[in-house]
Amino acid sequence: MPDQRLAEVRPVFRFIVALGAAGLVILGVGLLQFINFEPPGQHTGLQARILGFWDYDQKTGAITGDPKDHFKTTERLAAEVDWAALPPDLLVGGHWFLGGFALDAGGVGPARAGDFGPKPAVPLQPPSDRGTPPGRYTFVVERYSGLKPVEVLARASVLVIGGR
Amino acid sequence: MASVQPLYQAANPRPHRPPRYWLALALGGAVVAAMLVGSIIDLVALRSTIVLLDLLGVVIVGLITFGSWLVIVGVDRRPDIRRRHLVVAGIALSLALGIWLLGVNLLYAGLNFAGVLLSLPTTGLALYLIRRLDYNEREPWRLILVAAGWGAVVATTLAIIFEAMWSFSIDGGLIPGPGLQVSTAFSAALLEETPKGVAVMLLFMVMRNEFDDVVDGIVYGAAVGLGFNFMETVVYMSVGGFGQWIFRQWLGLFLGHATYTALIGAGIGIARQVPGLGRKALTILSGFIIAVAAHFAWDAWIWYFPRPSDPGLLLLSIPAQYLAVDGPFFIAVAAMFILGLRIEGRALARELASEAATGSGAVLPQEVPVLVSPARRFEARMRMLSSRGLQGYLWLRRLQRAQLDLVLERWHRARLEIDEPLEAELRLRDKVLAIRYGVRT
Repeated sequence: MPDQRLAEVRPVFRFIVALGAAGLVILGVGLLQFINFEPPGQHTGLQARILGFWDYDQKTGAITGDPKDHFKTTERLAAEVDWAALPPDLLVGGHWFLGGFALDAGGVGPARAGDFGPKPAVPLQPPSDRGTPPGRYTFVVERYSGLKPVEVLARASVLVIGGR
Repeated sequence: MASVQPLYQAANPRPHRPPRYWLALALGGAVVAAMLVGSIIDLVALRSTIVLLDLLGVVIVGLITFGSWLVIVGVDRRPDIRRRHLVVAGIALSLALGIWLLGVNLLYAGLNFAGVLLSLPTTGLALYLIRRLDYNEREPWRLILVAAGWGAVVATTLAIIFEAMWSFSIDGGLIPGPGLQVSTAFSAALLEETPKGVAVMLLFMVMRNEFDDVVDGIVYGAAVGLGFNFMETVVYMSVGGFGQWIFRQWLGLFLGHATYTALIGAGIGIARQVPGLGRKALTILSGFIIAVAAHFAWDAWIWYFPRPSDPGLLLLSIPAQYLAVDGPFFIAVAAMFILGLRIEGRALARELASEAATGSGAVLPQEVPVLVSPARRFEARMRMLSSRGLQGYLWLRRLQRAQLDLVLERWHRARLEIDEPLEAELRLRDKVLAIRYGVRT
């Protein structure tokens, strides 16, 4: 009896099992891709310090006011990093990313840490002139090897919410 | 005179509580507990006001679970106290909706009403079309809407909580770029498909008599996916504008979340019918793996497609991307749906002939060729419409549906995959006869 019951649905049973196997292949390719871009053994133990997020004046290129943990979509913002605390010859950069989508939203580098000056602001660059879209933005300080980022030295998030 | 309990009382509502109900309860409890723990971890680790939304999500999920349960119990199991259950369910669901709207409002400062109004008709049309395709036995609207509602509110809330945890704990140490993109894609695939799959699994466990086979699994899975896609469209339109509506409610309406969760539903639907616990587990796991893989492929590899700078070429390239990445998975779902309909069709023909041969009168021999074919069923109803008017049409539609319910029950009973007592079948047969002879039941 079980054989008869299986025989009736065997085509769809085989189909879904074959699809499951194909799914494992796809996820396996993804794992190989991940290992390629995140090679193990790059950890130096160095850490950068992100001092905070401030309102940013586009005209003067300077930060203003007190540090904040969230901003409105109409406000411009920038991160400040204590570059001087890093070894001056270390090749580093700082970049903004939007949420979990890793969309580049501006940044500086790669350059030697000593070339940045003590605390230059790194403004977030909105994708359009209509203001900064709401969401969670992440600012990351990375160590580079050549032109390729190989290690995250610091990371912090800030929230941009709607409102006039 | 002492009251006499009718013989068929035991059939429907069912007096027995199969172990799967307890499994469903445990699964639901585990989901809520995981959400609670996840929200607290988010709150402590991220230290941001946005995670308060996660805690609101726990309340919302709890209220929707409670409300959905009351609707199912009130409509399907305890019609005697239906009104009271529906009123309480209405209050619970309204409260959940209110809190959810407040949350979305808080996050995006102004609910995207344009997005909701634009996306409702397209999602509704997609749900209607998918339900229509299941032409042998259409699933009840209440379950389709419960599935879509869970996809829209419960699954999205769960996904937000666990994706935030993944982002903090795993993505937090990764370099922005392709590696992080792969990790984010995997987290989105795993953490969005899991809560969507749980919704289909709960329907499978609780509403077994409305969950027949691979066809039903695909319908429920697609409904959950369409609900999720609806919510995602509304949220993404807040950022990406009208273009997101075009991509998600037209080009990708059936190709994205609907396809992924339909794959999970297909696995669960096949598990409904394959004998043996090992095979059942294998099919459910296979459906889940291919759904996660399909979702992962889209999120991780769509960025490798060329992005022409010419706006016209860009517009043409987007449908090509959908077809290239999601198209094969959509074709796989369509193939399983067609195979499932064929299996169903052959079983209906066999069981209709057997039922007609019993001479019970529920199915007459001359009705078998009509009932086997959806086109001939429709033709018979139209003939009835022209001869007896709308009332005659509706009567025949009720009769045909009751006859198909009866033979599907016979099919499951013959395959030993039913846990209701035999009285359920007798009751269905009585229902057919009552409709045929115009007896009010």
